[in-house]
Amino acid sequence: MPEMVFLQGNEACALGAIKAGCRFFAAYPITPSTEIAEVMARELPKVGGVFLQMEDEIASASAVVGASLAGVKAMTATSGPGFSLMQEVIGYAVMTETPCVFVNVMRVGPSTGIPTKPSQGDIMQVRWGTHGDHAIIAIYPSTVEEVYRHIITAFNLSEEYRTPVIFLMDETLAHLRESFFLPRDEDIFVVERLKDSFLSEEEMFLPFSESEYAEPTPLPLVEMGRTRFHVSGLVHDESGFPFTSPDIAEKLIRRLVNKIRLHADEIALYEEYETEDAEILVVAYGIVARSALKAVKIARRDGIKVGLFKPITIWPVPASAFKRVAEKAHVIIIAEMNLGQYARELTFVLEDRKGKVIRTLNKVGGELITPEEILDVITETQVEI
Amino acid sequence: MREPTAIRIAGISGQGSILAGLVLAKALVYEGKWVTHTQSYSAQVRGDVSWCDVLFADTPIDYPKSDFFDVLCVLHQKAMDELHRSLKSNGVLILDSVYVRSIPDFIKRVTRKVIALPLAEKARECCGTFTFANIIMLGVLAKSCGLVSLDSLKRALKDYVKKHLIEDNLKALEIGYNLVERKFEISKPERVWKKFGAGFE
Repeated sequence: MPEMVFLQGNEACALGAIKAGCRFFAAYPITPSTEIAEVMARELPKVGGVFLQMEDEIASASAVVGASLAGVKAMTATSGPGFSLMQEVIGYAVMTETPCVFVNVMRVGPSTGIPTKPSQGDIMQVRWGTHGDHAIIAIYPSTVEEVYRHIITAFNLSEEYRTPVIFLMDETLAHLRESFFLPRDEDIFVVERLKDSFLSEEEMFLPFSESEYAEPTPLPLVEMGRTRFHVSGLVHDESGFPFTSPDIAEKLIRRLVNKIRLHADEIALYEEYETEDAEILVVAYGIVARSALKAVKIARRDGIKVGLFKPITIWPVPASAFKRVAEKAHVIIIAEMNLGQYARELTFVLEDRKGKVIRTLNKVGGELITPEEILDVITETQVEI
Repeated sequence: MREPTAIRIAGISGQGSILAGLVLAKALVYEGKWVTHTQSYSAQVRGDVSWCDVLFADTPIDYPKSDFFDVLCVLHQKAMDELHRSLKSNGVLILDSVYVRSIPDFIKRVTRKVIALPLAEKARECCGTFTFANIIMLGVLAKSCGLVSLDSLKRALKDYVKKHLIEDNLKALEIGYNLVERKFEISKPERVWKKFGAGFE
């Protein structure tokens, strides 16, 4: 029987990260992500890890990239204003293909906004925050149990695809305490960093070379040691040294994007509820998905054919799953705590609407969307169709 | 669909209402319930209204918030003025009569299950400081509503309270438990949602 625990979202995030093998954490405390730093400061030294409080978020993010290149799994945690500062380093991590995890606990913005109220306003910043063409993986769970489970997924994906992974939470989820069954050790899968003994004596390690497979699959990063290599944010060849040749640049940037874009279906995590015969489809993610789930359950009891689609990997969009689920629906209701950032993307993914009506439910004042509000939209829609 | 049982503990920052909620929630976890605990506080360290909501049920909880509460515990007048409307009709209200001087008319209309006790004074008598009022209130809550056992509360206290203060806290809990005789039943009838859909007029 697994153990029943009672943890806060932030605590679960920190403990899950340690479970995933994170041994370096650098951050600058900011509400509502401070508890992650608190738990890390207490727990990391016990397992031989390092906790650093840096002078600001730029330094924190840089330290994390450095630590990861040096061979340990590393993470940082922040909220909106700090996340804006980290953008430059996220780009650097993308370019240098460094696995690392950035936790962003969303609060009301822009700027310092409301520190203690939730929002989902960073969805597009997560995707396009840093400059240049790139692809990114972002995970946004909706329960504390999922936080624990998917922070481990975040580390695994970052190692597997050698890319920074953004782990999103919102203020409510971060401060929500909840009871759940802790996954047992044998149920947890962790991707380990390769040791340098993996390489033969004469072999030259080219960390940025393309794999032999037809599809661009990133090579696993090998622990620093015998395998010294050059790292640069400039366009580089397979050895890591800068080159300005258009051919090399074209190849590199395409590879950086394709290594995630072409694997979107493998990365995709999502949940669906009662979607088989749903005429109305509710799409919600993060904490709003919980309101939506309750609304859908109530509406189902009244015989309304409604289902829920919850993307967990926000980026890349779980497009094929969404298209499949949306196929049968006449109306799609997208509920989010921003002014339609993800709705726009989903509409784009749908390509051919085939007369489907897309309705949005938005709220940005720092209050959760309640099940009743979603229920109201479902009911109105039901009358129309 | 049964709604989870909802308890709100409110006071001003510094009175320990969130700690009391934590202990209550952990005690409910020990009793095998599914529990969520959300909190609300402002940037002020002392003096502004802060509260926490504890929801529990026998099945996993979908939505961790509630608009109305079966039990409302109020430790300060400011919290009473701001949050009294969140009490369910026929819900239980527990308040500290030292800090809560006036009970709004609204309360008198919706319920007669009001327990007003000088918790802060009792705390000063037993432990020398009024900061134990929140734990005494937990004892009162355990006895009068029967939602959680005293043993689970004691076990949960040990998780959250500093070692050198455990003795005093356990004493405060006992005092609270023996302070009241009235017992209320928190009934959870199935919530009736209005019928939706076409033809509803």
